Amino acid sequence: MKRFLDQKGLSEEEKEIVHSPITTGSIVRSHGFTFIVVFLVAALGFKALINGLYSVGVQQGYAPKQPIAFSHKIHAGQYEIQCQYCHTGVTVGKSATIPSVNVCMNCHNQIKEGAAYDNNTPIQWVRIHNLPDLAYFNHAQHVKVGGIECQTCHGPIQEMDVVRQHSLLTMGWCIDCHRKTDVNSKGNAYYDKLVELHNKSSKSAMKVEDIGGLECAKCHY
Amino acid sequence: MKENTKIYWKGLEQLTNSPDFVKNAHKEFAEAPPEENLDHTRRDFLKMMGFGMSAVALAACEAPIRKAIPYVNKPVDLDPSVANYYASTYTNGGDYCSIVVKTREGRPVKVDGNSLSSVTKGGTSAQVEASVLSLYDNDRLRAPKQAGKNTSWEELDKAVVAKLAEINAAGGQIRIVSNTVLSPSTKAAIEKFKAKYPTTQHVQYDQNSAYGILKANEESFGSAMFPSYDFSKAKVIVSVAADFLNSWGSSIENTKQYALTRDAGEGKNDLSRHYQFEANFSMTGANADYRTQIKPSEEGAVVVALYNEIASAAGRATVSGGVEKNHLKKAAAELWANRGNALVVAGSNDKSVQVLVNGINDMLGSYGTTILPNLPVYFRQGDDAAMANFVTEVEGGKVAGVIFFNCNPVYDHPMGEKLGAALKSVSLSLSTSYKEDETGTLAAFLAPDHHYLEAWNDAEPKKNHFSLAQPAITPIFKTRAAQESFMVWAGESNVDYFEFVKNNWKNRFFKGGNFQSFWDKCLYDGVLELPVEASTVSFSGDVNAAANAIATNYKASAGFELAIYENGTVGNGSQANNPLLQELPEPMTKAVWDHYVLISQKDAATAGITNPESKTRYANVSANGKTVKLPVLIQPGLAQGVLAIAIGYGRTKAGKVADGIGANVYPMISMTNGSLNFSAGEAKFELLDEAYQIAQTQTHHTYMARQTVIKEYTLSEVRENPDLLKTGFAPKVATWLDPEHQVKPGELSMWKGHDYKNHHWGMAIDLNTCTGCAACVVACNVENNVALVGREEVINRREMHWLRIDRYYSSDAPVDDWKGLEEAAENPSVVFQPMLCQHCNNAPCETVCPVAATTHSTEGLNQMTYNRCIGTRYCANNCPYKVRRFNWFKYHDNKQFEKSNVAQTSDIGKMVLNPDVTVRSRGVMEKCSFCVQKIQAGKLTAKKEKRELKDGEVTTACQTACSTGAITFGDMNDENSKISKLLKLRPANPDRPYGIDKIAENPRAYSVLEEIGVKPNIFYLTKIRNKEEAKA
Repeated sequence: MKRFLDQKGLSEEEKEIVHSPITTGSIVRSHGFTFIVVFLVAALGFKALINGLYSVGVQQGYAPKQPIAFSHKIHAGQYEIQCQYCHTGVTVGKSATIPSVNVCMNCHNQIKEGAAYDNNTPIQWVRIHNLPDLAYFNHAQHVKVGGIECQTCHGPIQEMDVVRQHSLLTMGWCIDCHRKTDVNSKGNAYYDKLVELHNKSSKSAMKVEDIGGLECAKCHY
Repeated sequence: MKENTKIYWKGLEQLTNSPDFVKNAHKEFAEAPPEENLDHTRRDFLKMMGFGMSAVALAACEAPIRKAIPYVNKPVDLDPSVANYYASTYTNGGDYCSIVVKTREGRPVKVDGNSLSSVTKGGTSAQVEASVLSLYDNDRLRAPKQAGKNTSWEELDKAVVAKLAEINAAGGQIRIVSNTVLSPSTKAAIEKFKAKYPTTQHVQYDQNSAYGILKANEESFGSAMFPSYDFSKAKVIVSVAADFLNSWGSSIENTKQYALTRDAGEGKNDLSRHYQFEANFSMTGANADYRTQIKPSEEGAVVVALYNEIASAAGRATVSGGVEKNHLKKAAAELWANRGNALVVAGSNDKSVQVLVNGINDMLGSYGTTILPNLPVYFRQGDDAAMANFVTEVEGGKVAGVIFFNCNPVYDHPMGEKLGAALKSVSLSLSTSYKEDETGTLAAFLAPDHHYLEAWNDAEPKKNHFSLAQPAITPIFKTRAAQESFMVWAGESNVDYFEFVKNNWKNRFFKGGNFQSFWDKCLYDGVLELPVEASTVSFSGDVNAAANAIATNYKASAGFELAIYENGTVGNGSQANNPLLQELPEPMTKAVWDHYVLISQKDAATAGITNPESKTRYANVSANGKTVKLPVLIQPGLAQGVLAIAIGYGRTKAGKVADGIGANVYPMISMTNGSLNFSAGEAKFELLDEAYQIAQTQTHHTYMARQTVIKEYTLSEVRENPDLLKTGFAPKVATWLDPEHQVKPGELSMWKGHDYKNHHWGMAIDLNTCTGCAACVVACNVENNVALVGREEVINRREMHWLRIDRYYSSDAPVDDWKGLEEAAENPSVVFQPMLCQHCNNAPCETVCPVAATTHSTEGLNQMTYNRCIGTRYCANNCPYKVRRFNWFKYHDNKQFEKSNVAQTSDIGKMVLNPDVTVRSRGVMEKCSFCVQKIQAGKLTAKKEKRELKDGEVTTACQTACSTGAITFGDMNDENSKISKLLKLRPANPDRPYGIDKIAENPRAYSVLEEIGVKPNIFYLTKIRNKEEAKA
């Protein structure tokens, strides 16, 4: 290339450019390099910003101090009390429900230290799992119908002294599970027709997404 | 093929194509308000944005701490997030409905009809549906008051008992004044009070009085009663100014029965024929087959003429008087031909008119068939004479103590003003209303009763038909059941009205066995119905005297006459502070938030009034010595020479919502022939220059140049040519194959379609049985947390209702026949069409959304995802049905909308919100969701019980509210569902039984705007009028 250019009748200035050595310094000073660096920094910064914005309101790992140092490790882990014994709403409705104090007093009637119970004032627990108002989530659908273990979403709760938010609780996290999970259709006559139609067209098991589990109005209305 | 050449128009501006109308109709959205109307400039906006961004960034650092507070003792039958339902009873004066209250976490959030009641049979009305919001009225009394200051119940009782003892000792007169009291237990409580204070008299009055009917029946049959009517047995119905679908008699029951006779379903081709003679264009008149305009002063004469026609046919003596009216002879002939299945009703509150009506019904053999005198209803027990006498007594200083029991006569009685002025001289004045209303303000003591949803009570709406009311919420404020107050003041101790009602039922109705299970069953059902003995009556009214009285009392005037009516929205005004009713388009005028005087087209032309797009002028209307200033509204179909004004407006102490709207016309009501007369023979009309714009939705969301919106035929046409229904208007699309090859619009599609494997939700709306009452609109608002935007925003064409009822006037004249159009417009016929998201299978909105915020579900729903919507409004622009609503503002928690949107701006109002439905924010589109929250809940119940979903388990709010069953909703994939059977659905392609394309073989089924091929999931059923000729 250099030789080819030398053969051409170039002016002095042009020759100087052609013969200038390619050094690290010249690369650093070049426009192309500056552009690439600026672009990469901007792109990375932008990505960090987007990730940051996406995590606004995501409280994975949130483990606030509660008004009573209640330990799931002792109750669910050590004493192996069924989750549903206290969280009675979990198979009935949308909320799993925090037990009312009288449920505590079923066992704690000997200890009788419940100021809340005696004064008829409820305990103000700090809410850990906060879904935005625009998302509808129903525990009964997942636990009673879907047969999902509490730990699938809430993590090893039986090992937690202080409860923390185990999962992301983002829409992506929801959708991901709906894509992967088989519908618990066995013995449930509601799904019979769907299973029959699904098996005609597909060999894989019927996932939640196959029966509209990714549709907007399943959770947003 | 005979085509339907009728022209449909929503308002006169559409008929005449006024430039304002055309300009507005071509736009999906009215223009944004000019910038100076906004509180902030663009620079302010940028500043706010800058602040907002940093505020968000700061706020994001730490999430707010939210509390989760469980019960101390959880009630066994209450699970958070699971709704409980309680049977109860709605009573508002004499208005009654057996209801089921839906509560969430102890808060009533919705009221539905109770199908176990044989009186209301699961029906509701707009006012019943809206009443749940009145419970959370911010203007309610929070505690008892004495001399304008809050006090405790003990203090109040002490003071009241001392006063009563003082009056009693002096032998002073005590009066308890109320509207109709339906409750036997309440009456028993009042009896206890009377026993203690023997000078007490209980005076009942009704705003919309039926005293004339009671008096007439006393004269005709010896018993002052209001009989039950059975419209379902009537083949010919003649109504002389009785608005029986809205405000006359047992209107919910009437509507139910009437709809049965209007059902044009197969095998039921015998429709009833309905003649209406009236001045104002009522909702009932709009449903009639033949409607004749008369002046209010002619009501009596029409009845006389009808009497004479029938008497001559029956070979009886005629009476003097009468008037010749269009359709009158025909009506009489048909009544006579169908005797035994005929019914004549009249709205007049004049004894004489009603005696003649009784005479007619007697000749027609209606008693025992369409009229059941052995089964009186007790909705109207008011005694006009006693009430007038009471006011005179108070004025004369003869009354020492007055207790206003849940009534407001200072506002809603014609002599209210006099009563109010005279109250000062009464030694004890007390009101038990739950609000400090016009009467309460003038009373020395306020002892607020519970709202009906907080209280135990019972009711006897019809003889031996009993109904229980149970509280659905703990009293919100320091109120006390008025019945308890009566008993406390009577000196009883340990008073508990619940125990009192229970004991009353035990003593009266319990026939042995286990009382607890009897009581539980009554409470569960909400109603207890005991057999009624059959009895016959013999007519002994003096028809000649009645005819003579009519001739003397009513003279047609050369000038204007005034008709005073009760409309279907705010009704008698007792619930006027409920924005759900204020923003509900009045069935006929489609006006909201406004009060107006109606004038006929001809009179408007004479006076030089036009009101294109609701722009009008004020006028002074005077009658019976009172003058009101109201804007003028032209009402097509109103009789010439008549002005019509609704009661229920002009409240001054109702609360923030209703105060200052319109004028009170109760004082314009006079006494004629011993009872209240809701018309005035002479009225003066004086047009003023002051301009005004009425908020009216009638021309909002108008389709331009579309054909298949309404389909209607007459019964005779269909009988002559049954194929007409199928071929009447069947749009075809030409294809490229050759000019002869035409297909139906839905058959050509760019889409391959998809399969709905499980459910395919659909709806059928019967235009024949829809009466236009708009209960569905209120039900939809409450169920779906729809924002109420207020008068100004409705004028800006931004109302948020997901479901609207389009009221079309129609005329038979061809488009170019201007004269013919004008004539037809004088007395047009009306079609009501509920219009909501059609859930199109090929939805035009879905394809234009740039962010896929509106998508299609695998169950046929057109889904709207608020959190995804960025507010481009493309979808609304592309919606052929104009059913999408844009949130122009943040309506919730916004001080600007405090007056209208009380359910979303006040802490107490928010208790009514449905927790399963998102409250939408600014900048997003919304629309009917087919009550997807109810679909999801129904499916979940089925899944939990491991069974298939049963038909009828999932209902939409509008369907539940509909008294006539005009709305059918269900799974179109289920061949045994009600909707599949009604529409006779079959898959268009037999190889794809679950495909989106379904063909409805019911000849009456059609899709609105079928020609555009969007394949809606809502079918309408053609309206069939029982008319002989098509002309209006």
